[in-house]
Parts: sequence; structure tokens; C-alpha cells
Amino acid sequence: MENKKKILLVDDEESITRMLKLYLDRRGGFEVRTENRGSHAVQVARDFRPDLIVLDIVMPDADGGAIAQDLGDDPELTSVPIVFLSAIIKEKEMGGQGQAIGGSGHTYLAKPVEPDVLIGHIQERLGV
Amino acid sequence: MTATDQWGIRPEHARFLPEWARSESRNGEPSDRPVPLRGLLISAGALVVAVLISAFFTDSIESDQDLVWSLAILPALLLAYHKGWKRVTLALAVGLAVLWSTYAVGYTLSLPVADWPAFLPVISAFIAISLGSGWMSEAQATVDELRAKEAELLESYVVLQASHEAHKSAQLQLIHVDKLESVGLLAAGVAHEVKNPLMTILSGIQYLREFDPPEDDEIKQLLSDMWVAVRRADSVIKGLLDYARTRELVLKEGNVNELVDQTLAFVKHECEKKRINVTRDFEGDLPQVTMDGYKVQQVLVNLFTNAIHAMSEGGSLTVRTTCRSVQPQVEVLAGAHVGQDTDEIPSEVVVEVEDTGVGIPEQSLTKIFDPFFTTKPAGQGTGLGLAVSCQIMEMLGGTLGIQNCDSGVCARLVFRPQTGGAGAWKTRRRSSS
Repeated sequence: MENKKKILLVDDEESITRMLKLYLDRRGGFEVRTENRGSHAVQVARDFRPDLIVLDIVMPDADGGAIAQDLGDDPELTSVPIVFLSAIIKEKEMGGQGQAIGGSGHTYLAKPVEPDVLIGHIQERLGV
Repeated sequence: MTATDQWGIRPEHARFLPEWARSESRNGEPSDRPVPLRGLLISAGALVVAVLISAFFTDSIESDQDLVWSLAILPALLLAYHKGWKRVTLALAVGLAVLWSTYAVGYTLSLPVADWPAFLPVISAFIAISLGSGWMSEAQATVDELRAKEAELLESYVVLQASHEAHKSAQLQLIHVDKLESVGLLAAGVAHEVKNPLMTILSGIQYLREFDPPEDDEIKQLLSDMWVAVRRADSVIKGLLDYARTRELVLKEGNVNELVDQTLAFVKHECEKKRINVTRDFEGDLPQVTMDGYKVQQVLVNLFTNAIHAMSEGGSLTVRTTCRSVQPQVEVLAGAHVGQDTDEIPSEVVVEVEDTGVGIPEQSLTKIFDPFFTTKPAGQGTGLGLAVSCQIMEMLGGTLGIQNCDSGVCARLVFRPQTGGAGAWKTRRRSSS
């Protein structure tokens, strides 16, 4: 059986998670789960045990930075790489934001990002 | 207006007056001698001289010769005039005139002029002049005082006017900042609400292109247009975010020449493509400038891009950097104290970007810093570049000015020293300016 990498997509925009899931599924090699409620993200991650999380920063019910902090505090999830997506922060500004979020080594991308660019970063982080 | 002292005597003439007659004593303090008395003293002195001369003529020589001999007073009159002894000159001139006219009238009417003591009319004239001179001095002093007050008023008016202009400018700036802040608040909200749908559309376009590629050329073109439209919308939102972000500065000391060079490298390819000749005219020893390098680079990119867009048929782009001394009076008006306790004077660094393009229509010049105003064709400009640039420069305490010049458009960035704060940059020595 093919060892698929597990990816959790967390974004309050259903259209985005649906579209990205569709794209990642068609590209193959990934097992994708989506979550549109930021407040449920940590729990879903504990259940799903993803290899990588794509995380929106600004969500109505939770803050991406706080979610990353909770994930970092969880010994089971602390090493899971995160790719942040943001609609209000630009790439060049995200270096500083990353330190504030508390996790170095995360990737920051500004929306709208082309899916193949996103996949490029995902593959780089996963080493595939 | 000729400068005179409070008594109406020119400074260059005052040194010829005896000390008691000067308006200032030796230590420079104004004399408290009353004006009429001084006038009287001067006139009395002249009177004594004139009387002695007249008496001498009357006693020793035929009376009808007095008129001729009185011409001897003329050298004294000329000397007094030359020395600038205004009142002595006046006294002698009027004395002579009265003397001569008395004789003229006397001889015409066959009066026994020869029997009169020659100094009688002179004495009468000098008494009148002595009194008149005092009054004139007083009147002159009043006029001088009024003139001094008028000059003071004029000076105050100029200062007030400058202050008024400064306040007006500050007020306009406040309104501008207020406007910018509103746009900034709006920007974050709009960015979030627009970028998410844009991401969905972008993902959808790429999905269709990759997994369900259309064979029909029209559909391919349609997808391509959609892609461009999404990117265009995104660039507007990015511009808005820049607009909102300019309030956050990361200040560091840097060299403007190096920054301009780095930024020119960004547009090198575009310049070559458009056959634009780039000329660097940099002043060598620019002082370090406290600035946000990334944001200043953003400003420069905006200016270079505008210049390149204005020269679609080729041309030349000149970038000039200079350092110049800050005008002291500007600093005084701004209430800052600079360059008083050191031998350094504050300097400002100026970057000029000049193109040979089409220029800006006169009616557009007042609007070029307004958000969303653009003279470029649809899709080529968001109308935020100059608005953002202007705000960045204001945040840095500098200015951005744009005007049409002989060749095309000249944009001028001025980086000012930030006085009185940690951000103050090094100033150049007087000797090197």
C-alpha cells in the first residue's frame, strides 16, 4: 500500500479547503483532511496525526498563531511542520510574525497562493 | 529704507559727531540726552561760529562787502555736508540764505542795509533754526520710532505668516493622516474579505488548467484572462495593505547611494527592454540616513516604475543624490535648535529621479498623491504607488515632491535629519559642506 502523507487543511473558507483538497487529491500522494472551524483544529490534529498542517491565520473563532502554540505544546504534534496561509500579511512581513507565533521553521504564504506553489512548499517541508 | 539711528543720523555719519551728540555712548548704550537739547546744542555751536565770522566781517570790512565775504562760510557748509552733519549743514545753509536774502531785499528797497549789524538777521535765523531743529529732531525721532515699529511689525507679520503656513500644512497633514488611517483600517478588512475568494478562484483556474485542460482556444483565453484579473485584484489589495502598513517602521542607519543602486538593479531588465538609458549621478560622501530600507526601496521602485511607464518609446532615467545643508530659518520656525553647540550643521539627503517621458497633465498634478488616482491605462497601475510612497516619506520625516520639468517628470525625495531624537543622523562637518 502506498504510504500517503497526511495533510490537515485548516481554513474558515470552505471554498478554499474544498478546492485545495480537490487539487491535492488529484495530484495524488496525499491523504487530506479539512477543518473549517479553527477552534476544532487542535483536536482534529490529535485524532488525524497529520504529517503537515496548512493553517490559516485569521479565522473568526480562533487565531492561527494560538493554534500553532497549542500544537507546539502537544508533545505528539510539536514536530509537525506548519504552512501558514494569510490574507492580511504579506510574505516579506511574515518573518517577524513567525517569531511572534513562537514557532521558527514554519512556512508563511500570502493568499492568494497558486496551488502548485503551495504543493512545492508542502513537498519541501515533507522532504518528498 | 536707509538705516538711521533713533535720531535719524546714519551710522556712518554718527562717528563724526562729538560724543555728546551721538545717540549712543561709547559702551553702546543709548544716550538719555533729550533730542531737542541735542538739536539746540548743534545749532548753537553753528550759531556761535557764524556770529563770530559775521562780527569779524562787520567790524573789519565795509558792510556792503559782507555779502561777498560771507561766501567764506561756504567751505564750512560743504565740509559739514561732506561729514554728514545734517543739522549743522541745514543751519549754515538756512543762515546763509537768510543773510543773502536780507541783503538782496535791503539793496532792492534801498534800505540802509550797510548800517545794520550783519549778524542781526543771522542771529534771528539761527534762533529760529535752533528751535526748529529741536522740534525737527523730535519729529524725526518720532518718525524713526514709527519706522522701527513698522519694521518690527513687518518682521512679526512675516514670522506669523510662516507660522500660519506651517500650521495650515500641519492641519492638512493631520487630515491626510486621518484619511490614510481610515483607508488603512479598511485595507485589512478588505484584504481578508477579497483575498480568500481570490484564492478560491486562483485554485479553481489552476485545477482546470492542470486536470481538465480546455481544447477550445477561447476557453484557454478565458482562463488566462481570469488569471490576470485575479492577479490584478491582488495587486490592488497588496497596495492597500502597503498603505496600511506604512505606519510601522523598522529604522536603521543606511547609505542612500547603496539603496538606490540595489533598487536600480530591480528595474535594470525593464529599462533595457524599453531602451531606457540609466544615468547615476551620486554624491560621494553622503551621510548615513536613518530609514526603513525596505520601505524606501518600495518608494524608489514606485518612482522608477512610473518613470519607465512614462517612457514607453525609450528615453533616459537620471538618478541624482545630493547632500545639502538645512536652511537654519526653517529649523528656527520649526522650534528646533540645531547646530548651536557643535561645529556640525544638519544636512538633508536628496534623491532626484528624472525621466524624459510624457510628463503629467497639469490638471492631474494636484491629484497624483490621492489614493486610486492614476494616469496609467486600466490594469497598469493601482493608483496607490505615489500615495503609499508619500506616506512612507512622511513617516520618515521626509518629503516626496513631484513636478514636471523640461525633460519630463522630476521626483524629489528629501530625507531630513530627525532632530532631538535617537533617530537623528550624522551630520557633515562645516568644513566639508
